[in-house]
Amino acid sequence: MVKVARRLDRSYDIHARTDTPKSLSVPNKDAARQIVEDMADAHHLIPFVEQLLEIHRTGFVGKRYRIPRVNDIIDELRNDGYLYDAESGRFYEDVHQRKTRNWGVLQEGEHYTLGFLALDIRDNSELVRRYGRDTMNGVYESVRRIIDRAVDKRNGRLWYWEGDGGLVAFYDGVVATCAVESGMEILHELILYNALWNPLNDPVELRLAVNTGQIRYHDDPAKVRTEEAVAQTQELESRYTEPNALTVSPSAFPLLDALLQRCFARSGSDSDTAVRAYRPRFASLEPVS
Amino acid sequence: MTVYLVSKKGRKTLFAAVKKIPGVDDVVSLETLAPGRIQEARETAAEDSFFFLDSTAFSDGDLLSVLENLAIVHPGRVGVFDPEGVVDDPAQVFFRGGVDYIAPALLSSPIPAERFIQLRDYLYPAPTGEVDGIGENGYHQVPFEVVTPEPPSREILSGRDWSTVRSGSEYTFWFLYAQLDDTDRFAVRTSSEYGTQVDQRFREQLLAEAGRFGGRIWMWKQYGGLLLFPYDGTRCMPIVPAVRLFMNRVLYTVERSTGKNVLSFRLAIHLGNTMYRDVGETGDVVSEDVNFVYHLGAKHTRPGELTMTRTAFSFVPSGLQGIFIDRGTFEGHEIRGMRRFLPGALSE
Repeated sequence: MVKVARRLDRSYDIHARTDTPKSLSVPNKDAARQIVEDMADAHHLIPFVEQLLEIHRTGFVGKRYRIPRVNDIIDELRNDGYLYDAESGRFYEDVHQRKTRNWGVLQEGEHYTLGFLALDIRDNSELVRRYGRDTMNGVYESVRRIIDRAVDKRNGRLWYWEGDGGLVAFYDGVVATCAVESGMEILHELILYNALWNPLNDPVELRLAVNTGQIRYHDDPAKVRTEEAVAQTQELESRYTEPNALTVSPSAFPLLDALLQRCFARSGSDSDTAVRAYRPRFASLEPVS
Repeated sequence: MTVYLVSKKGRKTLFAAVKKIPGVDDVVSLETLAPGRIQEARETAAEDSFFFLDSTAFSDGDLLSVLENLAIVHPGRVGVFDPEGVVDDPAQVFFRGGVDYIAPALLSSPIPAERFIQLRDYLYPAPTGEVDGIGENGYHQVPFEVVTPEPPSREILSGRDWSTVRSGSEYTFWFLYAQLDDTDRFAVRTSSEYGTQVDQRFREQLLAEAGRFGGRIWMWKQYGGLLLFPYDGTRCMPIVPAVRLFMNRVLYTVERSTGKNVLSFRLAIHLGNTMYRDVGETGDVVSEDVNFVYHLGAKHTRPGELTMTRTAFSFVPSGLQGIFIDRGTFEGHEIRGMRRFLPGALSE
């Protein structure tokens, strides 16, 4: 357990933590209790348990270990609102119990590779001027519901939203795929919204952009924005994305399922640096009978 | 059925025998299409069209890219012919959604009819089991038995939900016919488990979408069946789930891992009457409207298409009416068909 703890905190010293002279060994039970307490205090409990379960399944430096009462540990964390996904070997928040912006596991200041979906409502100021703040607030609520439904089912988290746009982050699964699938579904739902429920005389149009990259996690949205991968996502959305379209960065595109890749058109001649765009629509011309 | 040769050169002579092949409707026409017109054809060509791409008309990467983008709208309807053997790895044609590759050796003289018959059998396997309307050649013959149009003769509201519906009583319902396409290929090309798995996931998806609008699967045989929605006299309940199913079919395919090609299915909507029986006890149900919607779905609706009767269409909210076009008359009913939903655009 000490070695596992040191994977998460390289300076971890069980003797210092238990006031035990280096010449003596710490009793196993005392060591275990101290490590669990320390990991919990340092917000490392979830990754610590993930490592233990991984060792239980696959061993540690070539040796097999059986962690006793594994199911009890999983059950205990389930009661605290975390579900274990054996396939990925990770715990995730049970969104029926809790939903936090860091999935309950991201640590302030630590590096993570995430997927990002930036969203922006086109001509927001003009729409507010034309229809008034009250009407537009109702429209924004509807758009937010569309976004929430699409990203919730793929375990995305809305990191910030500022009236007419925002940023969703993905941590779970293949992050680029989750972000793209969410974006595609949002565009599809927007087609239905504009056709059936939009109270305005103008269509509501979104610009969406997906990117992946490593960032240092912050609870503060203002700090999140300064991270390069986030800034790139926002730039992709604002500079390279047309209304009613979803663009994908050159770094995220190769990570997508082949079927999803086929839905995207390339803009630019260099396939390595080209931005890809998805523009769903109904065929404008009538089929030939 | 139209076979398009996407080529910069006149290649019709090589493919002349394709016109001699009895297809589904016994008429096969052959047209040359300039590569520059492929975007237009992708949107406008009928669902049962077939595209042969001339490998010499595209650069290496473009050929596979065009193939992929065609195949997403016309799944199982794109092949490649390679007169100069420029395709280094013909398997890529299949990996990227194609269903045929004609090698240089076959193109030194007109392609024999047998080669196209093989392709036809692959695309349209002869139906098995008890299917009405099977002609002498073993293929579906659309019987076009003319019946007088009959909107529900007695409108018996089934309500906004199922609370007042009782087994053994007659009601007016919304019918949604649903059928997977190309199902015979599941058995030929893959394990039977695969077909069962796709069928199961298709039903789950139907239920997930239709259930939110009161829809229930009422009858189901492998790969297709009938959903019922209550009819309250005002709203077309199946329209939103049906459109959603088409818009999200790429997502379903990817998220539910149903294969390397986009899941293809057809839907048909009708409003009519039937005696209601609980699920599993529908053996004695006799209903002209149930028969009709089965015919509409199986015989008039193309693979990958959503059709509906004019009566049903009149209930479609005005904002969605523009995505439907005239699809002729079938068994005395005027039919509307949904324009094809294009998931994305062609690569440049």
